[in-house]
Amino acid sequence: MLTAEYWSRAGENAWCPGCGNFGILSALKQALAELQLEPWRVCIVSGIGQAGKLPHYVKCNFLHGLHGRALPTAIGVKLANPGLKVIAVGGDGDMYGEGGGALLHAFRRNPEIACFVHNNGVYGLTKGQASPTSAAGFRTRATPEGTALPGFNPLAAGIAMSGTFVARGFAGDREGLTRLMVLALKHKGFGFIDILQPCVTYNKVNTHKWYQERVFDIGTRQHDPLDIERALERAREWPEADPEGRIPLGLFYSAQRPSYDEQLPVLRQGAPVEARPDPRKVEQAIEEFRQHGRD
Amino acid sequence: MGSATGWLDWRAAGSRITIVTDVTVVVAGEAGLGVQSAGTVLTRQLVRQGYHVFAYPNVMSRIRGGHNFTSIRVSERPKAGIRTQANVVLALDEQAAQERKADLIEGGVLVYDSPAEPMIEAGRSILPVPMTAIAKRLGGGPPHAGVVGLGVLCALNSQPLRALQAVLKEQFEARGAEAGRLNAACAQAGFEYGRERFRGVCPCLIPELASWESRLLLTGAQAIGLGALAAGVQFYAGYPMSPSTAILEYLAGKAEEFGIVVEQVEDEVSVINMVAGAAFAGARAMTATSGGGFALMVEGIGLAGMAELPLVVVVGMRPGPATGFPTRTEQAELLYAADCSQDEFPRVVLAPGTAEQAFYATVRAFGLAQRFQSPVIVLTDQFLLDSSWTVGNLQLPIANLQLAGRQSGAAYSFRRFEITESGVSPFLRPGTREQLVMSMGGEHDESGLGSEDAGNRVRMMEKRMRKLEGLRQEAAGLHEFPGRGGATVVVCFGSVFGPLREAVEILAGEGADIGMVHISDIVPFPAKELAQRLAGAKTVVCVEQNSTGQLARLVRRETGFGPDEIILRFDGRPFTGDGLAERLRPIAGGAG
Repeated sequence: MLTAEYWSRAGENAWCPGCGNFGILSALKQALAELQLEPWRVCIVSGIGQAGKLPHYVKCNFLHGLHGRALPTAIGVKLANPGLKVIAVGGDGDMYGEGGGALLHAFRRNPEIACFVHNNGVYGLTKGQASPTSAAGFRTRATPEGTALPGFNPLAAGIAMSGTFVARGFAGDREGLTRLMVLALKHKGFGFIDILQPCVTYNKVNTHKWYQERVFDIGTRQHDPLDIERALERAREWPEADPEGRIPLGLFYSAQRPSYDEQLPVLRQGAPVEARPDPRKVEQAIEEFRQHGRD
Repeated sequence: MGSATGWLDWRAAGSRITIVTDVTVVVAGEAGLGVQSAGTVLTRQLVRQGYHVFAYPNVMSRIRGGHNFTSIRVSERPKAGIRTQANVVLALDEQAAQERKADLIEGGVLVYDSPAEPMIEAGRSILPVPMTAIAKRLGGGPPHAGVVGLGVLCALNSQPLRALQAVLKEQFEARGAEAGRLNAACAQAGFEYGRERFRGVCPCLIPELASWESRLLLTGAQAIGLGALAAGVQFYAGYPMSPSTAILEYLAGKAEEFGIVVEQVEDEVSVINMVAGAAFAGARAMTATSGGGFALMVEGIGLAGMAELPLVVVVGMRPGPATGFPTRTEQAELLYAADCSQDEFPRVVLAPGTAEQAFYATVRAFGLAQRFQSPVIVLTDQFLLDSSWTVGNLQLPIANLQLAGRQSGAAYSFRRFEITESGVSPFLRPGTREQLVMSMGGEHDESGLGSEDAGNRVRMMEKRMRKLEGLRQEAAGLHEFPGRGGATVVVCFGSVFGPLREAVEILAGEGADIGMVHISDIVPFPAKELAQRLAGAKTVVCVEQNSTGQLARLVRRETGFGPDEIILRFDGRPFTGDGLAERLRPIAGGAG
């Protein structure tokens, strides 16, 4: 069996020391090892930001594409070659801001890909502006009076869009996160995990300690991921409204419906990248336009 | 009723049969009345009589109401455009009759839905036919009035009724036997009405041809769809936008049979990234859009340039900016397509002139995309895409669709961006055993990992840009007509091909010393060849459908030759051959 260490790619790492991304990277390598996948069968598609750099540190195929566009790109890879294990990775600015529309449609489409969002509530690579998940009042140089907008709730959105695997993990809970990632990677559909990730440089509110004091495993509270009402209630729990409030982790919701890949009849014929043009069929298609003479 | 010579003898041919080689029939009415389907039926009927037909739909961007018409040009020789005036107008409502009457040539015929009496007006025969009343009597609704009208045209044009009925039967087969009987009855009633009322006074406008051959009848959009199939397209994603939607719809209908993934996606940003993802995975991937959608795609085309992804983007130009005229035509995205980018990367822009050329251009686009691992744009417009064309045949070209891939020897040693003399690096599909494909939109080293090294940056830029040299070797030549000569040389690109060719034919026939050059490869631009061609000309003219002369600017920048004259049109309507001839005549000479 390939160990987690086998999945490391040698080279320099550009993340800040103590960054929550390290916990996510470590959990991902552990999950890939547990699933006994091989690097050449795995493809990570990432967006722009600190999270987008993740595939550079994992031994696998990758396309490190554009800001906010990891999901449609990943869907293109997956539909063209369904044999690949495809993972889309990005940060909160990437997946919830620039790529927010694509995310909603990915929940609807339910492609068989895993989606891991490194959610640190701040823009890191552009050096500290409010992100879609920053709490209202979050002060930055770009929002000196504090952002006026309420934070985006990715879990509630995923549940509302009938997501088939809507989960939250925490970068500081490596074991729990690994467990969720294994499930998301095995899931027949869109395996979405919002991953709470402390940013040691730009987010002085949602620190590692702040999270540690508040998170709990939803699974220990008799949660039923088929219960949409309860899932929505859980998704709305957040300390912003209630200073004593806690933060649930785990699988919130799982709508029962087939994956997009399963529903697409053309994929039953095999991988589209293997399809060969059949000249007879093309000739037939041309002949369909022939106007046969006077009758 | 008037006398025979009074209102129908438009070629002074008396009652004798006149063989007409170039007739335009316009079918007009408000949206929802079946103008387009009546136009389609008539088009097919005439193709089956052995004619070449060119049909251009002139429609408003609305689902009901307004005023739409289809210009159907019927000729013995193929035409790649419409004429300014019509010989016959079939109007399905009063407004259409009033508006289109002005298009009639002297001696032309207007058939329209009205209980009024026939008359002659300014030398045109005005023939009211109570189409709605006849259709109603037979149990039909407004669309059937159009069928009655087609029956009348059949009689006027001396077309056999069975020719019309055969097409009607086929076209509406799915609607059941009762609908079929109603259509047949309406066609017959119209035919008899026309024959009885206008007996003996119809010149035979469009007789059955003695020699006959079967032809393909297809729109430019369908030709591009077929080209994609011929090239072995494996992945298509799109977002509906006129005039590109028909390509999405055509390929969606073929998806299962050909094993192609065809996706309708939430927006064009996602479309181009999905196509880029599929191309990265190794699929022959494509999309089609129009100006606004293309604007959203440009970021993704940059990714394809940087990550060296082979993909094909069809751009169907329409007037803009922003929404512009959704259902009309223009060529104002020439420079935008040629130069679209963040920073610099090689791309190809092809601008075919006809549906037939568009088929071959699409096949070629896939071949170039695959072999040079670069984005290829097929730049066309509403006029080419929406028009129906007759084509003798489409040959299956043997395109070289192989990716320049090769398997590296040792496990996990593949270098996606290996520096090569041609600039083209080996390509592998992700999922190849014991190899990894790493690619990114950031600057990268040969392995595909990010690098901010200055020397590497320069080597990588040079490697990518070297592909242009190979692409230049692949450029198609200039299409010249009638030959190499001409004191006046007129330059065009894309779908102006047909109208300009006709204009040149008219003027050359009048004795003008004129020649045309059609450019189908915009990038890389055939600069050397064009410069040589223009060097011999006394006067150089550019003809294009935009307001500033983008082709003229491109010609100047690439060849150093500033055109002496520029002929522009930017009202959303296509050039016509006769209209262009009129505008060129003062420049090129020729007997007006």
